[in-house]
Amino acid sequence: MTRAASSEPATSSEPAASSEEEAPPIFGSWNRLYALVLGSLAVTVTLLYALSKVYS
Amino acid sequence: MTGLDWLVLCGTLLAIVGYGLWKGRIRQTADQYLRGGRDLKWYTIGLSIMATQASAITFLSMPGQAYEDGMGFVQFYFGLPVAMVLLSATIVPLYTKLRVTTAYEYLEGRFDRKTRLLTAFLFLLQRGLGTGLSIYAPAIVLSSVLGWPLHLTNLFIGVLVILYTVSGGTRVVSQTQTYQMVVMLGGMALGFYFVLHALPSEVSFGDALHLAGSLDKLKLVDVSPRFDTRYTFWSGMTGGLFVALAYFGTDQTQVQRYLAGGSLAESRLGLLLNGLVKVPMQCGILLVGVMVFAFYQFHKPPLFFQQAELSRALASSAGAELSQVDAEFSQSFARKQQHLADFLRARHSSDEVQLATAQAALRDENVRAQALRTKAKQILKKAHPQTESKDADYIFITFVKEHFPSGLVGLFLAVIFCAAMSATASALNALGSTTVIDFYKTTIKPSASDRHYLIAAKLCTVLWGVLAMLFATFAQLVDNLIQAVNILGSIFYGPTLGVFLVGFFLPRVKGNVVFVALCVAQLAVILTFALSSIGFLWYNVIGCGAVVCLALVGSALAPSDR
Repeated sequence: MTRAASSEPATSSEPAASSEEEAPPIFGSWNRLYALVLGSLAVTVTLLYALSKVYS
Repeated sequence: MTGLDWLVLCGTLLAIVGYGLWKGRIRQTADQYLRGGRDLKWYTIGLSIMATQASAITFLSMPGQAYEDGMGFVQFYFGLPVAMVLLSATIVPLYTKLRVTTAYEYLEGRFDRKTRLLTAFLFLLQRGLGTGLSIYAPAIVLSSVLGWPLHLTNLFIGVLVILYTVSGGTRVVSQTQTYQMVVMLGGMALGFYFVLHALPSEVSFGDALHLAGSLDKLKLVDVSPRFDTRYTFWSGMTGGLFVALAYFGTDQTQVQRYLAGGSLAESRLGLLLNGLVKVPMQCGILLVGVMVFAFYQFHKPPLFFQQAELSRALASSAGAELSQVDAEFSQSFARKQQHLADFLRARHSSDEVQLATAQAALRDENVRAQALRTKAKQILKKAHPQTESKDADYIFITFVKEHFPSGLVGLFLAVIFCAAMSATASALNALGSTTVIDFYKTTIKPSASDRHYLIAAKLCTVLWGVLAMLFATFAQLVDNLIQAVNILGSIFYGPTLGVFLVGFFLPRVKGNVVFVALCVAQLAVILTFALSSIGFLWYNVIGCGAVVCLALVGSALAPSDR
């Protein structure tokens, strides 16, 4: 029987070891990719706010 | 519906269901069925995550919501990209390392079995009901368009989804969702083009935006710190963040999608793709609704968009009173045309004074028209108490039926079907997995063959499909579908997220304490829902905060508890 179908509960609550991590393509580090996602949110919200003001 | 519409609709449905069945013909182990073989690419995961969240309700209710209340609903999604980043950095590596099949497995290792079972039960409860609504939404469309009985339509959608979900499990669900998402995005993009195309030739996109803005439909970002306003920047960034953390981090429907990734990086990239695309995508769908609103400023809209109900009421004893209101509504529309002509003239000649006068006149006329629609709804409700008092879910489909060209009506119905099938397939897949892994295997049959669990998972998926179809039969009692789904989720998500946060960040808190905290917090959220007028997004914050606070207090009072 495979491990996935097992009901054995997970026993660790520690975050994953960094050895499992691999860098994302193009950006080189996960932090840069996170910054891109958060930065695009900030730009989108700013644009939407500006649209609200222009068309109100 | 023309022959071309039927061809597009049936062709799309047959292609997707056939693809799912063909992909599902390969013999699988229970692990492959439940976790998809753990080899999916990031773009499949990303599209699958988006398709899971974008149910038919998204494409039916959201344009209607924008038509009625404007685009402020987009703020609900502001917390989502932040949640994608937080989950990618914390929970996803943890789940990947522990190699769990369901999110709730983690809780037994961290706390105890009863905490695992209670959170899994809360998931089954809210997701089971939510899936019923996901089936019901497209069923009302088909019933309205084709005149099919509602229960037959529920049955048709349910059976189609059950067929390929049971056949192929997690992997097939994700793969079919990739194509379903392409149909959905392509269909909505074409839909947007034809809504713009349907506007009068003298009205530009800019004019339509200005008109919608003048009538308060473009209040996209509201920064006022008000708790009684449902959608604000603050409720989106806090309540919306908690909803997204709970939905993507603890709801098995989504956890199952990214756990099928070939590696931690693939899972993370899939989530981050969703974080990048979600807000612009929702904006686009809401903008379609706003453009439909602009269109109906120039073309007389029906007094009530659920036209079958309107016709029934006109033929009843309430017909005379309703006809009177309809006549006043027509007069109001005629007056509005004069104000619109003034508005466009002022816009094109840049006459600010005349523009302000025309905008004020349009706003007043719009208030009068809205009052007449409200009066009509009251008459309808009085004549037939079972009638839905809100018709927002019928607005976009009415426009599609009456103004889309041949073939595109079929494509839009295919969009609705794809959305319904993708969301329902994910949900049935997750409900079946949770029932087998968290309940059947832990409490009923702890040791059996791999084939036994595979069959059990398939049977449970069928069972949940049948239950969802039954729930769908009773969903007509609910007014606005998208809000109903979000409110239902918000009642249960907060406390569940609280348990996971305590598990991750408060290592001293043990099982009994968090279990009691969960029970009390859940009760508190239900009472808040029943007794207060607080916006539903705050339920997530209240539920999560209550669990964390109670766990901290309980842990301080009973430090030796296990």
